[in-house]
Amino acid sequence: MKTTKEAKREAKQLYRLCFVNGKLDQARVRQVVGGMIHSRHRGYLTVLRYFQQLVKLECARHTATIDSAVMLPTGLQNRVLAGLERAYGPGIAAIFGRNPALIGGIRIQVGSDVFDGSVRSELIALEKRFGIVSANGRNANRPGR
Amino acid sequence: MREIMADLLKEIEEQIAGAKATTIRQNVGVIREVGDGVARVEGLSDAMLNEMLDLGHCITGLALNLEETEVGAIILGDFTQLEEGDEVRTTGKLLQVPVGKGLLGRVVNTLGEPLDEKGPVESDVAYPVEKIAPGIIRRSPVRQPVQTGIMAIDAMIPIGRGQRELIIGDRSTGKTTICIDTIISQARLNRAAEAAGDKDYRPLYCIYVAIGQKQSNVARIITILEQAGAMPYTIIVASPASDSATNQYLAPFAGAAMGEWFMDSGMDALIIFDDLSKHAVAYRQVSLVLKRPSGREAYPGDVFYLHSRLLERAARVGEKYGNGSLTALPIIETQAGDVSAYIPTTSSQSRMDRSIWKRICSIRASDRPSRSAFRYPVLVQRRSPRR
Repeated sequence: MKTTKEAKREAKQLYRLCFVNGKLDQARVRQVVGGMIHSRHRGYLTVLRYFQQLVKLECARHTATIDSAVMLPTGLQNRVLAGLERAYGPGIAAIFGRNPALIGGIRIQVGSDVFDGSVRSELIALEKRFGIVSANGRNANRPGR
Repeated sequence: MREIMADLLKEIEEQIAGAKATTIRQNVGVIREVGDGVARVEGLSDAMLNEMLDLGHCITGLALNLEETEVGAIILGDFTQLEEGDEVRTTGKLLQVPVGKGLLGRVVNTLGEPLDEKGPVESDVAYPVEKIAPGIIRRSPVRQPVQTGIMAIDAMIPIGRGQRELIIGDRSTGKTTICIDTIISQARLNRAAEAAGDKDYRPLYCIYVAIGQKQSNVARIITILEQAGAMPYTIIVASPASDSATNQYLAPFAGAAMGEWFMDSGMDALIIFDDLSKHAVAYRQVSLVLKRPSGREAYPGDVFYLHSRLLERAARVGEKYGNGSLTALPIIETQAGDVSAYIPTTSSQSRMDRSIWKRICSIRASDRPSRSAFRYPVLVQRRSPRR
């Protein structure tokens, strides 16, 4: 489905309405979605899709995905979260995960910023420095691989 | 022996203790859509315009559309290897090509990679493909001629070093021939000056950019230049018709970057864009796939800016800035002689006409002086043809 300029403009207006004190208000988001579905005006699905995209990006900007080879102890988790709040402001939601493919170290992603201190990334950097292309040519850092 | 081993172990221990785990900060995104040499990437909040993107699989992209939620990037390589969901990283670098004298005598692609099986290109300098043209202060008047070797042109419509002169005409009217003759003429002059040990002579190096042409045509031109011994003074940037539209779009800019190196190093260079009609078509294709708004004949609104910013890079810079120059000879192909079509409407043109070509083929030029507009007719002309 093609997102028209009008649909984008409308979605952005609705998205702006969902902010309270500079933060995305979940209740308002639900209200907007409910209202749009109820009204069923022309092209409402396109508007809602773009609106969903905007909300998704805003949520990603305030969500930190922290991966490590082994689960981090609670104390370290709190320290990492405190550090992230210092850098990105309060209200960061943290999702701690375990990814053995990292071998060691930690990988943090907040929105499109990635802080990679894993052994895997060091090895990839080393691989690039030597000009070696991996056999399958795949990006080993890609999640789910 | 034991002491030496102990020292070595101590040294290693110190190095391990001093080694710090480095954290790499990157800006990443995810491919949402890929096809026709263009990828739409979600994320990449820090991407710059014209920044190189690492798409993985040793493929590079170029960020062209920066939107609120995504980035539109053109892919410089085999896009069939990419999949939706692949991770993309910013590199913090603008697209660059190797430049320097090491490229002379070589046939390279848009990215400056060799196509002639003569081994890697010897160059340790790279120039950005997109660069702002020299400003008013850096420029100086065009005074020195480019000898095309074609009497009709050198006598009636001389071209100056640092000038840009459009060659416009229908197909098979000899537009490319004029340019090839000019390259050969320059090579002869350069060789003669070298043989005579003339230190005052400023050699003119040539860059021929083939955009959207048949591979056989490019091969023919290379053969002609090799037979005439012009290759040691020439760089060929080839982006043939089989190349992707993105490569065809970038080829003239890559050639201009190579020419700018000569200009910045106080040397003279001549660049031939063969041809800009096909370049405009490639740019139209890229723009349409990027979903940019289209205007007349489906060309994007900035198609004139595209060519003007490219041709503005041709300049003669002042003595304070090295006294170098870059002359541009863009070629435009018209349909049925219609010079007032959308793309051909550019100033300063040397018009080619088939009937005229046939009549005055003895002097190997089909210029129609009465219909040509020139900027530096007398200023750059040598005394002998003026007389």
